[in-house]
Amino acid sequence: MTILDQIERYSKANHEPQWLYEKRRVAWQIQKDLKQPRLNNVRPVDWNLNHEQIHWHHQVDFKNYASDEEQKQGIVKMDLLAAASQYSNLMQENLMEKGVMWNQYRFAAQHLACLQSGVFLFIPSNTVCSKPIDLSDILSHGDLEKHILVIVGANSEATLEFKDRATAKEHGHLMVEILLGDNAHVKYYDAAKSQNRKSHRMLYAYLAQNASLKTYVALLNYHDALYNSQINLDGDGSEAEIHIINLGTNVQHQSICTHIINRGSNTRGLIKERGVVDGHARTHCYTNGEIVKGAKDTSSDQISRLLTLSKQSRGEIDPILLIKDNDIVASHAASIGKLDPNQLYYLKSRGLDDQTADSILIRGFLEPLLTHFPDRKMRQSMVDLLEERLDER
Amino acid sequence: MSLVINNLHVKIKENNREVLKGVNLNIPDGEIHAIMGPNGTGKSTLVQTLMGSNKYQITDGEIIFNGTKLNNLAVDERARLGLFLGMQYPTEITGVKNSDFIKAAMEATHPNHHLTVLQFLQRFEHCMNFLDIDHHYADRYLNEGFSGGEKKRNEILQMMMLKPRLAMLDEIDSGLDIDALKVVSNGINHMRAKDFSALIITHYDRILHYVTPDVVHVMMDGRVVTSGGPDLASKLEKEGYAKLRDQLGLKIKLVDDE
Ligand SMILES: Nc1ncnc2c1ncn2[C@@H]1O[C@H](COP(=O)(O)OP(=O)(O)OP(=O)(O)O)[C@@H](O)[C@H]1O
Ligand SMILES: [Mg+2]
Repeated sequence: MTILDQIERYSKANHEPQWLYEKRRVAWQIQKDLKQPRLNNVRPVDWNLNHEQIHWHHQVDFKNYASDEEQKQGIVKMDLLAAASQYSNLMQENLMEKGVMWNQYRFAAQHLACLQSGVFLFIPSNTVCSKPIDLSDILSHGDLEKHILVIVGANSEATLEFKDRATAKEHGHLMVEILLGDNAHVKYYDAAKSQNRKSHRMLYAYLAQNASLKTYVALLNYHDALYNSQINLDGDGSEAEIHIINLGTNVQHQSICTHIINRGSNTRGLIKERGVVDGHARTHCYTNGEIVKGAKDTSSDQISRLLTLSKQSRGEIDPILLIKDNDIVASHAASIGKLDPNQLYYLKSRGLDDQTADSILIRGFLEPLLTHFPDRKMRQSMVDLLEERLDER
Repeated sequence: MSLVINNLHVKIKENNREVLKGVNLNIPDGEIHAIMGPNGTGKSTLVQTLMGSNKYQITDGEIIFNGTKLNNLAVDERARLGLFLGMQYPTEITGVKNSDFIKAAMEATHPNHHLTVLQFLQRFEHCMNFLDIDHHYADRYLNEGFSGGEKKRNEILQMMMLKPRLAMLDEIDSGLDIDALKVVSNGINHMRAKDFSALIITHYDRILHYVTPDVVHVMMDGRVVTSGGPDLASKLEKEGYAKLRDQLGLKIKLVDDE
């Protein structure tokens, strides 16, 4: 059966609305003529995934998984494909239309065409969520193409969390779209610890006026990984912060692309990342701050640091500031360093063996960033995951 | 049980210069010894070599600690045998909390003596109080932004927590104000025990008024040239190194010679 046939059968079996089926079909037809994004100079983790052997199994589930209290507030958390039927108009307007365009790049078209499962989270206007909302508990982590769409209404506030569970050994792609209304404020904690042989993780966000999005990300995947985070500061006064810690070991190859676009006036973007590269691993950070013409009184700052532990490990940082307006403040700082032999000596002189001393210095390198992850519990859970990964080196 | 150093020759790896030219020293268990000597005579080199710093290379001689030859042991192995070096210039480590570090070091040096978090904290607080260290230093990054005297106090704090068999304290008194000198000296005296020994490197006899050494050694030009009781320190303080050198009939050029 061709992939188009598989898509048709799946879409029909799940009683998807006609628009979604049509979009999927067109997406698959045009994907081969679309390009993948290009990054300067260095060879990134490649953007192609293998769609030949998708395991189509998903049964749509119409249950609202928001807690009782959340449901009273009008919050909906449900299966994305169920939401496509139940909230057909809302989904048609938003799914891969605002955060990321479904027909812009090949990976995006392929993703929509082969979308297997996902989560839809809707938070109405004027809603303050008192507890963090877990986006990962109702997701089929083993699927190849997964999508999370988050829509937050005006003046609402929420903390979202995501944590990888049993991912497949094959390829995996999670795309997250976060659309924030005026004055909506969201914090998003993302602990990536995928077993995928090749894992792609993408976050696209669109912010209306005075909205803010702060993401706190731990990239602790086991194999080749591409992380791509793009935040569009469309509304005047909107703000975005991306905080990423990252670990690469063995023969892992990772590309971490971050991109904040200041379109509105008085917008503020900040990218902070720290990564550790060990063994034969390679990590490339592409940080991109873009200020569009007319975006007055804006700022765009980036700080990237990599620590290479072994002779064979490679780290590269590619910071870009694309600035089309004058009335702005922008900065970037990048550094790639090694463990300090004096520090190692000091630690060992207190009895710590090589591995423990390394681990302490690695923790210490990431700590100044981690310590600013505001939620203590989530921060601790990321530290634990990091610790696990370090011990497994 | 003791530290025994026989005919120790050491060169600096970076420039191949011989700095220690046959050091002989013996510190029996339970004793506190002091080393004095002009700038640049190899005092720090000696204790760094004892600790196992890879900046120095032993070209001859041996170091024996409680029956174990140290020459080829790694730094952390020596520490786990009970050596401790309070450094002249303690290293700053951003991102590593003082208390986390000390806890890890205790676990490493006393693997069979497990402390619960509570027990650790109680002991930690006790030692901090003893040394008059403000409690917020527990959560500060290791030595980062500490003043000179605070760093020295923190070295003594580590010593008290880790309870080494032999503490080598390199200019632990420099940079300390008068009160701090007493506090730090109290810390050292507090450690005195049958199975503890110390080697204090100092330029002034002041600290030795508080911590009475069993033996004072004088190093010049890479050797121990004489040893004596506590009065040797006061004599040096009064008369200076040039006079001692001439009395000993040594042909050594001191940095401050004309
Ligand atoms: N790592 C090094 N690299 C280069 N030279 C060194 C190094 N360590 C020591 N030296 C040199 O070796 C000699 C002895 O130095 P050392 O630090 O042991 O002296 P010291 O007796 O401790 O002096 P001070 O009283 O000034 O602390 C000095 O001339 C010093 O410059
Ligand atoms: Mg010295």
